[in-house]
Amino acid sequence: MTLPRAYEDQLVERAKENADAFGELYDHYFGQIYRFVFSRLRDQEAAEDVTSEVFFKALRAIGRYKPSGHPFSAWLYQISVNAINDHYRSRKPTTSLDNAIAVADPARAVDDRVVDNAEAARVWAAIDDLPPQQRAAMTLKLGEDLKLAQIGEILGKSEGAVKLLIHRGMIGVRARLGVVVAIEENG
Amino acid sequence: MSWMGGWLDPELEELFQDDPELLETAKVVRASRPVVEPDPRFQNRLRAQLVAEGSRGRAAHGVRRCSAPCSLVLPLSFRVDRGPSTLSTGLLLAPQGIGAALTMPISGRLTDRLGGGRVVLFGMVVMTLGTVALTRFGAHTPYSTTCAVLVARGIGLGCSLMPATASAYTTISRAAIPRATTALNVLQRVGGSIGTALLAVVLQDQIKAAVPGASGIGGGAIALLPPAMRARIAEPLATAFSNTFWYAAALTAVAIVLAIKVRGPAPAAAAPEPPGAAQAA
Repeated sequence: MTLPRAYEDQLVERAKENADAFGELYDHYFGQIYRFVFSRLRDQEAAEDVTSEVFFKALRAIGRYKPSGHPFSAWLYQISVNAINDHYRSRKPTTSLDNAIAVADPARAVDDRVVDNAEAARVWAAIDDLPPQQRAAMTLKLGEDLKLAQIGEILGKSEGAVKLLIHRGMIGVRARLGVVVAIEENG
Repeated sequence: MSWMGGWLDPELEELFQDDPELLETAKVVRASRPVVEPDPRFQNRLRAQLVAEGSRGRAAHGVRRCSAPCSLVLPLSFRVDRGPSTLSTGLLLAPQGIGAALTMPISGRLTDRLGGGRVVLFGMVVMTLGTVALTRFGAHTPYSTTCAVLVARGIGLGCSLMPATASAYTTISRAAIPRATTALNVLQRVGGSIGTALLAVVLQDQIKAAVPGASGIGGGAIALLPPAMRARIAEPLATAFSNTFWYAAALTAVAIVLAIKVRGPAPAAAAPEPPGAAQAA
């Protein structure tokens, strides 16, 4: 959910001078940003660290923020994408994607099985295996339901390029999940 | 975690309309996305830190830079004006260290309970009053009075330096602490050097004015003077140091203004409940 644009612009202007106004922006966008970061990192402590980093960076840089016709959240997501990339650069991934090849109950349909937490984690582990841009586009689209245009703004790409990223990303995920299906069918 | 339903974004429906397998995969991925519930304590704490950071800026760092202006002048005044040995000069400064050492554990607890702002403000006021008291010192001020004033300054130090640092650290994320530590150390050293240089220049000017032709006389040289001559210049030297301590007091008073701006760290229990907490959760 985004704030009415006029009100948001006004709030951002006030936030440049007034910490309480920034607090109001934080109240509105904390949930979205935290969810996005968590869905990329899937570790509470790391997500809290990166979310803190995102909002502190935003606080320090808000004086230079200029409305670009996109919601303020697009700017926050942009900072988040960079912070997450920094996080990945500074740490080795801890999730083995071999976990994605797992034994599942062949009697249940795929849609039913994803209600299992562990299996869902494997689905998103397949997304983690994607190249960074595909991973970001997939997370913003399928994790946050953002519009393609917004994702393009966040990633600095055209809408067409974002479509391509998601398309390729989905092919990658299907390939990974396809292993599970193949095991089930053989089992 | 809980799970979202099988709805798919119309943009994705359109994107994968020609490939049912990819469409199915997209539904699976979306259905498996976690609904994350952030820890409300983290959310509140971060909000308090952000608002404090936005309000406070770098005031806490300024407090630290302005709060130690006497480290050069104070021992020099004992050494030059009264002429004791180097060891005695060091021992004369001990009351200030004792005052600080006794106060720090208490100021730490008070900072946790009340937040750094009030503790730092109290410390800076005591420090300033102690420094003003130093301006009243003469060549014959009793050592007992000197010790009492130094203990008071020590209490002020104990209530200002550490809580100011604690306040500064509460405003930053865990990931930023290494960089902040480096920056803080650099600022302290640069600020301390500038303050020391400033007071040294002021002191030299004051001594030159009080004792014409004495600009080259250091503490060791004074100690070598005959007692009668030393007694003669003791009072003018005391005046020179007193005048210099006024500059130090003014610098410390600047730190009071900065201390007023230090509003944190807010105790965890007192962190404000953000209006959007329920929605975000």
